[in-house]
Amino acid sequence: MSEPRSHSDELLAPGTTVPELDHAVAGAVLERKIRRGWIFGFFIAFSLLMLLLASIGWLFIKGVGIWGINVPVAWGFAIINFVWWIGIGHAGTFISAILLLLHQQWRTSINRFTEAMTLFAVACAGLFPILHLGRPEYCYWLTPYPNTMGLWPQWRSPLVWDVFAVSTYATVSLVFWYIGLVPDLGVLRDRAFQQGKIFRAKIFGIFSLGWRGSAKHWEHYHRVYLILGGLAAPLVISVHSIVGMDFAVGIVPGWHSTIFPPFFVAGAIYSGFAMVLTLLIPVRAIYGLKPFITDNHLDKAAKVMLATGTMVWFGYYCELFMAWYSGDGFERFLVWNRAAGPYAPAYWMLILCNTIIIQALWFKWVRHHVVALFIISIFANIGMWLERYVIVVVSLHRDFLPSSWGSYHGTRWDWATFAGTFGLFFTLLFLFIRLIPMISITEMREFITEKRKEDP
Amino acid sequence: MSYGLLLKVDGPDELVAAANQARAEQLAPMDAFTPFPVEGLTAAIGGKPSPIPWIMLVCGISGAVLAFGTMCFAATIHYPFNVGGRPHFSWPAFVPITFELTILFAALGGALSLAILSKLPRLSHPVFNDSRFRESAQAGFYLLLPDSDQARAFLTARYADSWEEVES
Repeated sequence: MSEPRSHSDELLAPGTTVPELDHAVAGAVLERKIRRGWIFGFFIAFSLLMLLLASIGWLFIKGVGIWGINVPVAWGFAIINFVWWIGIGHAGTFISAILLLLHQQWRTSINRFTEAMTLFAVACAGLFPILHLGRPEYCYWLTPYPNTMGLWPQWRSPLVWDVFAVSTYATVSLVFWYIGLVPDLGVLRDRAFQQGKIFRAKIFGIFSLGWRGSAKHWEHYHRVYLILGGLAAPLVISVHSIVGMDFAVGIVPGWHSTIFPPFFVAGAIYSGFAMVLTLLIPVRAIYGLKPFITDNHLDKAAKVMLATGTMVWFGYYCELFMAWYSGDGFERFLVWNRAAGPYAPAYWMLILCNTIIIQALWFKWVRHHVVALFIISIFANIGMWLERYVIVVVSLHRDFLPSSWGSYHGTRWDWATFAGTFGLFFTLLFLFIRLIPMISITEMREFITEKRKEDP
Repeated sequence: MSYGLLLKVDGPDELVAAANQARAEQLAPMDAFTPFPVEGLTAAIGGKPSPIPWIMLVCGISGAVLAFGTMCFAATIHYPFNVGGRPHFSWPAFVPITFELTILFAALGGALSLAILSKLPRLSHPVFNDSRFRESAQAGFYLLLPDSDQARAFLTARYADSWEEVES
């Protein structure tokens, strides 16, 4: 066997010290100058955010008719984008919570960034349930508020479950992320103070709540953190299962399937990890974070992608098998329609992205080839968006009664709103990169200290 | 008298050892400061385990009771409605929201307890007066002992120059 590549077996570049960590991570916030690349990227993201605001404004003025939804396809891009963005968010929670419970060390350097990615993805997703309402001003009717009509929400509907699930998910993710941030903000406060950046030191001082690393506080802190991880882990499963139920309780062929909850969760983690790779690969290169986010991390993320992608593949197979095995004419027609009907190009593209392209990840050289991983991850995300598109549109446009059949295509406002959410996501991400430490300094310090004990 | 005596050590193990030594000499440490949680340190400074897990459990259960109770009340007593003869007490449908609210209440309860029990936010504290503490930017390991002649003797004997007075 040839010599292992310098970082391939390591989760940390050998010999990395705490001061180097502080300089790379805290320095990216406090010391690094804003360069043209960031300004350019932020400009694009902000422009798309403005497009989002324009799209939302026009939507509120004119109504959902500006989108392509019709009868029978009454759900279009809004639900597709909602499910897609929430799915992306789940990888961050998976990394933060589930990998924490499984004592997987490789989560340490990536969990801050991916949890931020989750928060921003959930922010994008959470817009759509409100926007897609015909009367968004009544969105509060979905919650149990005291009212004079004696009304309650429909507890038995997954759409109402979604309200609680997504709200809980957003809140718990934010709390978990912020609690993880508090000690790091203390580090930045002290570092900024040392460097004479008093205004920044004050801001970090406020948000760090005066954290001083007291052992008495750590006692409470580490209990909360572990239990929050334990709470957030079932959230990953439950939230996207509930989202899958949005479809599974519907009776149209292609929706009414018990495999949807686990199938959606697997798909969510798959697309989420794809987005993690898409984002981490350039960020670690640009900000000099390769000693902390090594090729080994990317390799492991690729393996998770492959595993969950295989589960998604199994979901496709189950649908095909059940359509045949059940003998149900409508299910069989759906399968035929997906493969050979008007939306067949979308279906075959999704098969290409989600089942064929990711097979490359079986090969170690691909998993260690950064450009290949980047390209595959983008295809995976496209594939997952197309999967949501195929599930929503194909099942709705031709269901039981041929006289009700129709068709759907996204209008410019559908696309504008979707592109606009990228603006929101990347604007928040660019701000995050500049203002908040991208790697958990506290957890990495612990990791480095442990490693030094093992091999001094 | 100053606020306390701050001893700087090199690492987590040295800190636990120092805290145990101090307690052996009847010098109850006021606190210790570390960059990350250190196992065994709470006991070494004579602290008790955190009650937060129990608090979070209680909060979670109350969330579950609130969620399930509200839905049952709404669906069976306050606004029952007949959908194809299906049961009013459709408890399987109530499970997802109950689950979510359990988690939400436990998480929020834990976060609030953390703030309350730690008495944070507290932006100023005497230990920040110590310039060495400030400069280490939360990367150092410190033990804080109450100021007394015995403590000073203990520190001078074992740790020579690694300790300082902290002004109030």
